[in-house]
Amino acid sequence: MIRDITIGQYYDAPSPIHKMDPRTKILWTLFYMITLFVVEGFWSYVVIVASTALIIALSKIPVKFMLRGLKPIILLVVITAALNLFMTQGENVIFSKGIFTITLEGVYMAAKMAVRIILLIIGTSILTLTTTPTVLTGGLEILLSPLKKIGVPISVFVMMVGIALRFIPTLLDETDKIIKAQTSRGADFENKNPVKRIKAMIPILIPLFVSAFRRADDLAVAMECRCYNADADRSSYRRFAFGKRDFYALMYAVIFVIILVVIKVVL
Amino acid sequence: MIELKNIFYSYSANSSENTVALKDINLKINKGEFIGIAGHTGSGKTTVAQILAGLINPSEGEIVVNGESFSDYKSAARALRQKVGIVFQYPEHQLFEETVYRDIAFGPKNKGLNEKEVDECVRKSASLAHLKEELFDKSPFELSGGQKRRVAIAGVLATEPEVLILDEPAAGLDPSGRARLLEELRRIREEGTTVILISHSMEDLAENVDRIILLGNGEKIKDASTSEVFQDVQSLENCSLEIPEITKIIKILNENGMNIPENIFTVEDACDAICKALEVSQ
Repeated sequence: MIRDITIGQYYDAPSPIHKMDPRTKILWTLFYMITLFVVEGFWSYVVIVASTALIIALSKIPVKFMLRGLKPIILLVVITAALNLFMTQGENVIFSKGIFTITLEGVYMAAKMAVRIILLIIGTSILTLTTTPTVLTGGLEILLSPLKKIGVPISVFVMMVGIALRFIPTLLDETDKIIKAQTSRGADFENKNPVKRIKAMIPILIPLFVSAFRRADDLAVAMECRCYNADADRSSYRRFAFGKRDFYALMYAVIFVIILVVIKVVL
Repeated sequence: MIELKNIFYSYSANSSENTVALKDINLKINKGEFIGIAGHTGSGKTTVAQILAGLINPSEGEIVVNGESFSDYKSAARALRQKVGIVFQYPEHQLFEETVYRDIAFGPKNKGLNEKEVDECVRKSASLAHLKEELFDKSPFELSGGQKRRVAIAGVLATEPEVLILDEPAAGLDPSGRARLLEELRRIREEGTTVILISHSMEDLAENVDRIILLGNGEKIKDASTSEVFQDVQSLENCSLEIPEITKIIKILNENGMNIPENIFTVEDACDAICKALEVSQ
């Protein structure tokens, strides 16, 4: 169950997407997210789904693995879709009973929101699945470095993001272990009663918090011992250079936009 | 009492292929035994322990509990969980209650015992784990490392398992803490609990267990009495494990002309044997 969460995990595979410059990937993801919320209409989403599928195929990440990562957000998708389904006002009423009214607009809205959330999660997980946290934060630092000039503490921010990403798998493992330990002591996590279920989380959450604080403390001490200073002017052994792949990615983005614009104009 | 037959376990790691963690494991755990599981890091010790404790299901194979064979892993796991208690590595990381007493009481309460029975369980397991009752009202988080570990072990003991599995219970303890812990295990065993000790300290195993199961790369390499396993130096070396220091010393003494039996694995036995050998030679 706990292993299903793929956000923040890295999936090693020999693919062109993995080898791409992290900056390209970050910008692409940003661009992808913006497009996702700007475009309208059925055919535009068909294009986005198709291009997402193409990128997944290129990244050599098994579709099964991708879909498994969606499991934890199913509930979120369902709730959002349901809210949109019932709350959207419209003229074309298909179904009405008491306070529940479903309109054609509502159905459309619900489908759109569900697709948007799913694509958003898939899009962002492609970035983290194909990029190791260190490379990702390295790319982020360069992209954000202009902000340093106006006094934004980018290095600290990037370091925090890096540490957070790095600790996701560690804390997941820890959670797994704690769940097992408490299960062995007879804790029941599968109770149908929601109140009991929430209560059953306490023996997991408290040790998890304690261990997160302990790790944070250890890490802080270790960094302090090495005289870590976030604002130090440091060089990196990792040099990023845009290559052919990044050029292709750019071309792909341009074509992508052109297609979307054409759809908007024609349809 | 518990039998594993042809158990395979594989998991999908972060790569595209499934990693096989256990290959064709056959084991029998009998009542009252003190068993050691040894093997290098990644040999599958912890995986075997988790299967025995009903916390993970094998990919293939048969589990027999009290003569009843389960092919449905879910009910097998339920049967195992009622019998087996497991103390993980660094068990103090699972403490969560406000007081020591309540933390130890977590297991018995989950079993649905009434207050009086819970109290009995807590006091009994605390004394087995050498915990003073003065500590009962303290927060487990303000105790020392060794005390925390004993609270955690008492918390597992309080569920009154028939089989107690401990995964490297002495890791991170100082020598006296270690000795005390192992002594506690011997006492628990004398009370009638089957104890399975996972360790890569050959000294700890030599001094305590009757039988050793040797694992290497997910396979069972050897399953025999302690003295038999320690005489099979080849198998041990294949598993990147070593014979106890004292056995090595005896081997060196013998190479230099002494005549001491080589099936000695504890310092005390060695003492007697060396004295005897010296008397004979005089």
